[in-house]
Amino acid sequence: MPSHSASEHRVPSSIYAVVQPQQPTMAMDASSVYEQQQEGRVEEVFAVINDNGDLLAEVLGRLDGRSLAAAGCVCRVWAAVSRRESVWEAVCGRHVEGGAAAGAGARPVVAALGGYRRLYRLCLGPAADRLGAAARLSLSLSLSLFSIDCYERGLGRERGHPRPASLLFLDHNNPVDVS
Amino acid sequence: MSTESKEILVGESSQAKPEKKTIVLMASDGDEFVVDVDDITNQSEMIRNLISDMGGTDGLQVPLLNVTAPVLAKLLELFNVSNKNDDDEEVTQKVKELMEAELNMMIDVLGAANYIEATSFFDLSCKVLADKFKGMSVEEVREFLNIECDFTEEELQQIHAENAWAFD
Repeated sequence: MPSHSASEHRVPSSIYAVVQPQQPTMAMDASSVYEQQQEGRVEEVFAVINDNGDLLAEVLGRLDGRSLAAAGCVCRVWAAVSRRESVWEAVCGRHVEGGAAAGAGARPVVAALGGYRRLYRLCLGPAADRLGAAARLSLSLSLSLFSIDCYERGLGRERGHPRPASLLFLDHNNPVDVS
Repeated sequence: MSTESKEILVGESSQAKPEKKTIVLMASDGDEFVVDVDDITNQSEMIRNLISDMGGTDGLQVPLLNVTAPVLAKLLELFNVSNKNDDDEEVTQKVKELMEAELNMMIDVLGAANYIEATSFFDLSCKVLADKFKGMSVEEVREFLNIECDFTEEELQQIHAENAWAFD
């Protein structure tokens, strides 16, 4: 039954008329408020993980490097969390011998050389791609390679060099010619 | 604090075996949960430390200000599964089921597990969620969690360029 007819009928002709609010405009307001509440509620319910950045960081730190980089494209909150060094440290920790605990002492060195995200991007990621995700790499070797890249970058900046190339041998798309 | 408290017994009935020690966990809404000391200290580092700091469990009530009653009930239910099984297979399966059925609840349970320092359960649950994301595209993750892409066009290009290697 259309809402305006309810107020015109003197005697309620159906059960709908009885439960109808006296003023149709109020009913409309009420329902739209209700809908807004519902929408707000649903949004709140589903994006709940975005309310807790630390929780999200724990989950994202358990991704592999590629998935973590992709996760950075989801939204602003995810982009911010996926740039956290602690998250990349967790990812890197799973690729080195002795796990994350063994690497804790290397934190200042990694930070000085450009951070864990870069360490993963340049050394651990490509090496893991070649050797398989289950391979455990030597942290000290990775750091040596990482420092070479860092040095080369510094040199490149001074002399206007193109991008550093020493670590390209790690990339499986660029097999090293050893002949 | 509510005067009528609801009691949920975890594990064996504590009334039948008076020698079993219990403590009371209080959810944020005042509901009380009576739990077996061994069952809960087996999972929660925070409660294990609390008991050792207090020097015992007599009449111990632990208010969990960040955890609502439904979330605490679900968490204790999953702890039960974990305590009853030596390996993590069964509890991992239960967490997966919860994630598929009630994602929001699963994330709240995750938050609660973190809060009470249920380290191994937390680790396991984070992995379940992370493994789910691993197989998904960016678009699918947004859809799964109902997250709006709030980047501007410019930011989106920048972030994609920054992470382009992920999509090789």
